[in-house]
Amino acid sequence: MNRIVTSAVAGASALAIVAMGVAGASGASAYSGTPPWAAGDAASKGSINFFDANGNVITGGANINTIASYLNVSSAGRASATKATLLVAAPDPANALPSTWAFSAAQSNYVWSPTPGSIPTPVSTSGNPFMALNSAGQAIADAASGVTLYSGVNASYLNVLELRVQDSGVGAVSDGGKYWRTDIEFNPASAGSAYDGLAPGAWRVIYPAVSLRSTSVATPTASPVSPQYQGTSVTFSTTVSAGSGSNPANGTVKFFDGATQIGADKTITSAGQTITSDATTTLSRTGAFTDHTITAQFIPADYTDLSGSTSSGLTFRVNKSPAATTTTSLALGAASVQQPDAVTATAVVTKDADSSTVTAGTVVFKDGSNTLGTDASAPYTLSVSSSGLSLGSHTVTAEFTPTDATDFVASTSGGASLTITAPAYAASGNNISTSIPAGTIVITTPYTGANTLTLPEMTLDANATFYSTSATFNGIQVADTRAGNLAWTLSALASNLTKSGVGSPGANETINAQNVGLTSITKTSSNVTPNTYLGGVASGGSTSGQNLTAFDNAGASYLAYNASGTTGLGGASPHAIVHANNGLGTSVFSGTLGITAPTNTLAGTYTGTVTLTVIGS
Amino acid sequence: MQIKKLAVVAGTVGALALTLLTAAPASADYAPGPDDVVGVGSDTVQYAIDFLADGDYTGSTGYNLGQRNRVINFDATPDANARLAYGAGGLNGTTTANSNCAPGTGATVGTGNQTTTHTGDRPCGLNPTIVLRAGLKPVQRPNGSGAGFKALKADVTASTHNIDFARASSAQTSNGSNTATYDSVKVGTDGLAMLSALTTNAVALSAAQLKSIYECTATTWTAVGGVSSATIVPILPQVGSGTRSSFISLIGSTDSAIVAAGCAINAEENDPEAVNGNPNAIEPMSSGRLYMYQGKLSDGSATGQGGYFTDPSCAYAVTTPTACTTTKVLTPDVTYWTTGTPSSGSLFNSSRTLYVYFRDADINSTKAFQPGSTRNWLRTLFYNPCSGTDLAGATISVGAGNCTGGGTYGPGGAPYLKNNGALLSAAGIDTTDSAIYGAFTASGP
Repeated sequence: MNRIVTSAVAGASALAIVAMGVAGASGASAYSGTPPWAAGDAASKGSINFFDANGNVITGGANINTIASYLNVSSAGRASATKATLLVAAPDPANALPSTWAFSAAQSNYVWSPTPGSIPTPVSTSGNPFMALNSAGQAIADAASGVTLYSGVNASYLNVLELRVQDSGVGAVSDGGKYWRTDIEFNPASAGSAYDGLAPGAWRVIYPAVSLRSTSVATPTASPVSPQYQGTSVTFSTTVSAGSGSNPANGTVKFFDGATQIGADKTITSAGQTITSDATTTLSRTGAFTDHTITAQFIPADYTDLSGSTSSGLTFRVNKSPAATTTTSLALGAASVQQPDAVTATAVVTKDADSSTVTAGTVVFKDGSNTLGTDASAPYTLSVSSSGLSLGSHTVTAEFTPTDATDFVASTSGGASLTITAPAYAASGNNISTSIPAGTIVITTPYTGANTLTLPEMTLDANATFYSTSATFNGIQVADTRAGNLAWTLSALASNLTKSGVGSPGANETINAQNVGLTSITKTSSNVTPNTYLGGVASGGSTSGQNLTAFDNAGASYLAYNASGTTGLGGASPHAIVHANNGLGTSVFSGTLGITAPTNTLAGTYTGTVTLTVIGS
Repeated sequence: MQIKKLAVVAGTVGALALTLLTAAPASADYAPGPDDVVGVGSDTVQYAIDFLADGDYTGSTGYNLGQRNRVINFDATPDANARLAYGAGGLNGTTTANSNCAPGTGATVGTGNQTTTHTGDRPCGLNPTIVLRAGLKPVQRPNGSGAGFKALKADVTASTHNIDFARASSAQTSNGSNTATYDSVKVGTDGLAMLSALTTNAVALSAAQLKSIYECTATTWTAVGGVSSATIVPILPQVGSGTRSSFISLIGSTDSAIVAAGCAINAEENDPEAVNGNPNAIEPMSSGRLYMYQGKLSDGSATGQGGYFTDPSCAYAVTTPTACTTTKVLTPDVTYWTTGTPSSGSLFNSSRTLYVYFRDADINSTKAFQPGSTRNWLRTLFYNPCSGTDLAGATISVGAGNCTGGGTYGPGGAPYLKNNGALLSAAGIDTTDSAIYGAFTASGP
């Protein structure tokens, strides 16, 4: 007898057809008819059916470790049974009685026939006890690894597992050890090649043989046909036919949008009936359009006769709805306003189809063709000032422009009249002007003209190596009146001192200007802002920590009359003695002027100049 | 596995009733074969493993159904209601002075072997015996976590393998010797709170108050915030009980302090009958055991079958007297103190982890549990990691391709313990903490 097995597998497995003399290097069939142990198994009381999550019968699959979502058995259970256990047993030719084979529990003590909630038909309606499988219950290979599998030469026992279901209840723990059983053939997942037409990890039912008539589900038709705007109510229809014999007169049809079921299950009540889905208005759309794949799936009620099947897909396009027309309405707070008052204009944009408020856009308020103002977000309002408008009658409008022109159509309100009236009292305009002077910086020092700063007679130091003298240099005033409170730098430059009364001063009749120094500058007074001052800073030091900075420029140590250089106040360039960052105001300083001279300087009175200059920025 | 010895009947209703008993020769109770798996020890854990082995009373089957080799789980006492068996003398009085145990009986482990009458030992426990394996002579039945673990260690020391696992309701220490020999797997958790009669003078108590009660420094209810000036009757599980050691540790006391103080009465642990009818008695009680009395699963929902324990004074399947209808379920009138505010401190309401201890060497034993099985007994029942070696000595690893459960377990899938939490729940044991349920601890604490 040729045994033909067709697999209605939910998922990727293809049709598997096994006949006598198939596969295997030996050329002999692996399984022929009834397994040798089946007739002698007095413990068997029927077989097991496996179902996927949708209720389709599974008679084979690609993964022996995710075998099924549900199972039921082929006959009624005992009245007192409330629980069932799924076991995996290893056929063993050394033990003639299958009930003595080694077995391993896959899933123990699960509720027998739990209340149908999400349990699909026909699992829940077959009238025989059923079980939902958990991850352990589906993992047949894992459970099978707990028993030693036959590895001899008897092909009838090779790569075969017996799945068993035993029920139990209070006071009815075991039905004398009896079970429902189905034998499956499998190829271990670790196998390197196909076995008897099974890829590694695949399996099929071999006993009891399952022979199902094929069915096919027609590609669904849509009403109305594609394409349709989003939100349109659509139904889909199909028919189910059998490959041989009469068409199914019962069973369930499910319609899917991709992986999502559309509406509720539909029931076939007569052969060849057109089955129509629930109407849907929620087919999604992103962008300009979205294409949906609509399928219909048939799940037979009589799963021992018919296989389930799924139709090819219908492409159904959902377009974006055309831009909605809008209406803009404008209201003014008053129809007449007296200068210089203001009036509020308020615009409301609504969608014509359902009068809902539209906020996705901008409203421009106009007086005739002149733009009064814009509001980019709802509520759209503008405070219109009367002062900028001429007296008399004006027409105000509001123009709405949508953010996305494919969503909404622009619209303009009707005109609203606005009358501008003269103010209560006449105004009088006045011209005013002023100016800010550029300003200047004036340096004032007391030692000018006849008023010479006379230092005390120079004296020798204790070792008689040089002459020195010093005096206070008072009253150096800087008055800055420039606009802008800018910086200034006060600098000093000394000339050589020469002996008075001598027409051409000779070699030792000159004191080098570098020997002149100005140090220890103190701030006598100042009204600059901020009035912060730091004295005694080394020449070239930082001016950033305070407003006024005074630098020490100590004179050289009794250089010869003809020495060159820029020490002290000598050299060709003025030396900075005070810097102001913000110098607006009048500041007065004093310092110590010191002069040294070498010992070969001839006696006499020596005179020179110290020139103070200021640079502003 | 409940083994009924017809010789021993402990019928106690109420804490202090005298009971009588006669010893008679054992009849044909099942003696484990050489390939069976034998467990002993804790009273608290026994029903969980009984149900795992033989199924529960809600219609679930256990491991043993249809198997050639079986799990034999010796209960802590020879009573299916887990009550203590008393020898002649029974509970015998309420004070040290008037308690008088006959030779061969006694509450303190070891003293029951004396050949003379000894006093001060309450109750006069029978020290019942069991036959560990077919062909062996009877030996003392280990009663409690400590007794069970000691028996397992003695089995190892004797180089026999008569005991495979020991149940415990507290972590066991191997006392320095054989430190690398014993491992454990956690079965689940069980609550521990105080039990009193329904009509009682008892009040909510804190750990500190319980310490003073059990050390006999607080002897009346008024001393601990109660109204009555009656004397408190503190009941304590027997020596060797894990519940006893857990409880004493949780209230911050010591065994020697309590024994020396002398007012605590020893009784079989987890027996609500010990307080039933006595308004002054209190005892620490397993929540799981109480649920079994109340016919509840570990989540507090009803099993639908009523309470597990029936009145032992009613003969089998007779309906007379009228109190013995077809099933007379024991429903002790008790209060379980899981709520309430003590007069000082916080309420004593604890939980403890339950364990099964075994030899570390058994993880990789090469002896198949069942003919044709690819696993040894330990991997079949309690602990099957994706590591170690299989029956042929080959490495178990993901790389070797012989692990299951996505690389979690060795061959055969999860151990029976992990796939059958419902059987443990029927014994009131909570398996919802995934960090505890089935968790392995190496080498004992």
